[in-house]
Amino acid sequence: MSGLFTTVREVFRYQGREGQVAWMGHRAAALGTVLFFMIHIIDTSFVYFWPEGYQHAIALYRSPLFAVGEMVLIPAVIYHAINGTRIWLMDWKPGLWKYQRQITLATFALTVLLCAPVMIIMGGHFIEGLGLFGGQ
Amino acid sequence: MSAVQDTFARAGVQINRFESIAWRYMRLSGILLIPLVFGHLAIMHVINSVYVIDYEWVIEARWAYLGWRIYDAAMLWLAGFHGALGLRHVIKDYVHNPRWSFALSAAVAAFMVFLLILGSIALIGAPFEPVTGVPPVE
Repeated sequence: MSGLFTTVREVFRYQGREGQVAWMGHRAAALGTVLFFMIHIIDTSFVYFWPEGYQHAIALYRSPLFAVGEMVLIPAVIYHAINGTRIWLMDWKPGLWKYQRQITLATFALTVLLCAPVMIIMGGHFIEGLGLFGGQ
Repeated sequence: MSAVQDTFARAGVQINRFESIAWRYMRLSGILLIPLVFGHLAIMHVINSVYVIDYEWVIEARWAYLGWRIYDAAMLWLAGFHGALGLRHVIKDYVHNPRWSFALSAAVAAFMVFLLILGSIALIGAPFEPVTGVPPVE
């Protein structure tokens, strides 16, 4: 486990700037997404194996805690997709490395741009789901 | 043979076939997953939401149609292997003891196989009309 300790410590010492941030974000997003993926396959399989259990899972997903989780998960997936595209594009066309700083910053900008409307709409769903303003 | 493989061959370096295939798989599945997952997010989280989704909705609006079952199966298998190979990569980075590294990777692989089988059985076995008597979401 010394490897893990060293890695975490060196994250703060190694001044890799935007490239390091991009890498860390990619990995953090991956770990979060794969954890949710594992849970999500189990809860979705309840549709067949245990329909009542699926209803319980959905009730849980409607709770504020999971609403926050959703607000983290969706940007994570969007970032992982965009940054992943950057990685294979730059591997495919090595000439792009001349502009790696700009391309990485563009990746962050595109993530924010794509996430903003999605977050607003999801926030709207959440407020509607609270049922404080009628509807349902 | 690609230029890279050619260089390796001339240098007398053996290409590790598994690593090579795993690397290619991450790229290819990643590209395929982008439209699949963005479509999934748009339908499930933007157009609809967890406040709309429940047991009956999943069957009636989604799994009543074979197309959505194939769509979900493609996502399940592509993402399952993508996630498992990614986790293996992370384990290799942080766990330097070869035994622990192998044991953890094997555990990830076993759990992922279990999930893929679980998900596939659900996708194949789920009825095309909702079962009656399922209580609503509280």
